Amino acid sequence: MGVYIFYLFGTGLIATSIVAILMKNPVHSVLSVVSSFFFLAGIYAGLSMQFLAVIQILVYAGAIMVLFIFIIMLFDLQKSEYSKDRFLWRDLVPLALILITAAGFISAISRSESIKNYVANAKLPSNFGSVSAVSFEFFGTSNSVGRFSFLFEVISILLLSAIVGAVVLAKRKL
Amino acid sequence: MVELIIWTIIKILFILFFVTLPLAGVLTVVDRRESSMIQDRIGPNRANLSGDVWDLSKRWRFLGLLHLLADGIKMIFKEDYSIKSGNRWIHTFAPILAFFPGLVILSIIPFGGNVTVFGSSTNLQIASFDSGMLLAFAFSSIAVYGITLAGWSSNNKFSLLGGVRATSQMLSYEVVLGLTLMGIFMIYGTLELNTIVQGQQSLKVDGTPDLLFGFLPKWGIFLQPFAMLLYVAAATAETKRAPFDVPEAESELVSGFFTEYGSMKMGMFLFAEYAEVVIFSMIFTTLFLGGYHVPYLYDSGFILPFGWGSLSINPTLVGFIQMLTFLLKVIIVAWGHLVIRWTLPRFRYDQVLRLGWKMLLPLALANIIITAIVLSFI
Repeated sequence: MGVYIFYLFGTGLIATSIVAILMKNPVHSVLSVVSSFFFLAGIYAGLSMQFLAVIQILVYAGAIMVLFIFIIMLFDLQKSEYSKDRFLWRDLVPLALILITAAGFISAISRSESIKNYVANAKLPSNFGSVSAVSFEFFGTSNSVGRFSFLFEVISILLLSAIVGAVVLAKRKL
Repeated sequence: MVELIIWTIIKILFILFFVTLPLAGVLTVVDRRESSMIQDRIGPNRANLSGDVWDLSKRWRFLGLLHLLADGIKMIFKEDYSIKSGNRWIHTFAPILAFFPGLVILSIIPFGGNVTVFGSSTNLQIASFDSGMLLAFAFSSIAVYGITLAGWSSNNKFSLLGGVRATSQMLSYEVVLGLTLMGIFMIYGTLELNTIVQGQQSLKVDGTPDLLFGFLPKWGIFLQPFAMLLYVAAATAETKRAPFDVPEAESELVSGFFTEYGSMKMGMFLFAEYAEVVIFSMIFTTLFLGGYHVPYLYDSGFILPFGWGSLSINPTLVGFIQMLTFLLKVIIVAWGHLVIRWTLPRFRYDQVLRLGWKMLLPLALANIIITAIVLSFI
């Protein structure tokens, strides 16, 4: 069952991502990226990471891409300003490189004994992917520190500095 | 498994086609009628079945509910023109995108307790989802796309302005909306809505009711009254109804983001607004008004405070009583929401954003901190 969910959403994810690159109209591209986020969330949900799936929709599809659309709307692009790039044969070179690298990765992963052993012996906790399991890893309990507490706090400080930077840039005179 | 699927289908059909959509439809008429009463007008009173428009005594008007039918027929049979300039595909797609994401939220709302029919027992909630309320936030933020794209694809300055206003307003108030509810999540210790509802009125381990000061049920409205006020303000802004209806502001922007729409496409924008009101009322009832709980009614029957006695009732009957209670509470909250709309004048646009970022957001943060301090001492 899980495998079929993965193939279904994986196909959709690749298709919408390709459409996002090929579209000339930036709004069409953004919509395509948004739908690819939904497919990605579907893959997360199929891996029983429901919290991550909802956060993917909430943060990326619901907030960040809305800002993209907002900015494209304010630019008010005309048809004449769309990208005029034509297809060139040399564009196939990076594509071929990507495909070769991906094939290498896939064959390495599928042959690795340690990964096979890990998958065969992996046991998920019953609440895997739920809000409580994720928050346990981040914050721990009242007596212990979670595995990622330190990293979580470091990332918070990084985001805080980004906010301060944005405010300083926006207001030259504080 | 088959039992689960059948129950899920029944629940989806019930909550969608017997509760939300009919209630949203009735609200369109209630809104028109209520506005006329508040503004001392007569309001819509012509739709009737007898065919006689002028003789008041001969009319069968069914409380004016026929206006719902008349509006629907009018919108469906109106000419469905599509725009010449602008983006036609997105223009057609936008009303769909504005209407349907909100309906996903229905899946997590518990609309009744546990019921048993023909020996098969179920909770009256479509999906018990651990991330619960986050799903509601996620899909209410998806509804922004419909509005934004409608404004952009119409190729009209008024539409574009309405779309831009709606986007920035909804993005701003989503932040506030999430933060106001944080106190509730902290108190009940979960995001899952059925668990929150059960936490609002439960029995202690020894079988006695868990009450505040010995008589108040632990409903969100009593534990987080300040968060409730902030939530009502933020949610009204999120549904884009007056006093926060700057995206469509008739006196400034013609009709805002749906200026270039006609027929049922425009009808879907209007209907989406009322569906949002119903869903807002459901979430408000669930989080702050004890959900489907009747005061002092528990799974086995009534247990009154101060030792005034108890009364045992059949658990399935309790389940159905709770379902009807939920619907009654939703209708009352929706009515209150309509009264707000016709009582307050519209804010200016900069006032809306200032209210969101400079007043509601700091107050919501303060509410979280105070709740955390109080919870750490209990």
